[in-house]
Amino acid sequence: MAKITQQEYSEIMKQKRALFALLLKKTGVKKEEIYRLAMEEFINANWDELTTTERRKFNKLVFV
Amino acid sequence: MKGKYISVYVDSNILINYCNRIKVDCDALKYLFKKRRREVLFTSTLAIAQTIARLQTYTKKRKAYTSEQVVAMLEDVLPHFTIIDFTQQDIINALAVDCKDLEDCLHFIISRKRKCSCILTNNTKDFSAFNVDCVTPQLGVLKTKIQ
Repeated sequence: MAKITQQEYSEIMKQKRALFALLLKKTGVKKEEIYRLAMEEFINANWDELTTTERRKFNKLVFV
Repeated sequence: MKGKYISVYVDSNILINYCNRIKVDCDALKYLFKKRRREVLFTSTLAIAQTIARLQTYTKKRKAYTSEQVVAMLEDVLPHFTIIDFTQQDIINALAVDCKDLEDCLHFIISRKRKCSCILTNNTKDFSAFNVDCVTPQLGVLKTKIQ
């Protein structure tokens, strides 16, 4: 099976970004909301990687 | 395919907006009712009490609902949920947490009792300090996380 060329990959990603923009517009979802959700999910899934000392630095956050 | 969030805790502002027929919240809850059984869809006695209080309050946009109207609205929506009891221990646990907003902390503590995957709320900022995933009632977002 032929691999995707760099050019083809660039084209695919260009279309994905355009599609993303279109769907954001159609659904009324803001890009910032997607980013916030992704960031918080990642943090919540991995916060147990932090040492106690590291957790203390983030004194505004509650880890339960 | 289930999607990432199996169990969902629904905040009081969603219930209030649903009863007030706000389209975004109505669409969100109707979608949730199709995708999740009662056993994994949660709210609390705290959220219900807050909903009743708000519905029976006059606002600039509407008169206060009568008791009969409030009961009818709750009878329509609450059968879809498992209702978590709000207890004295929840208050004790919330007070032990160093947080700015005690009311949101209470909802967070209550949702943790049943290990809810996420909280559905219009006020994601209010929960930003807690390690819990918060989702706004926008169908575009719900469809990616609750399938």
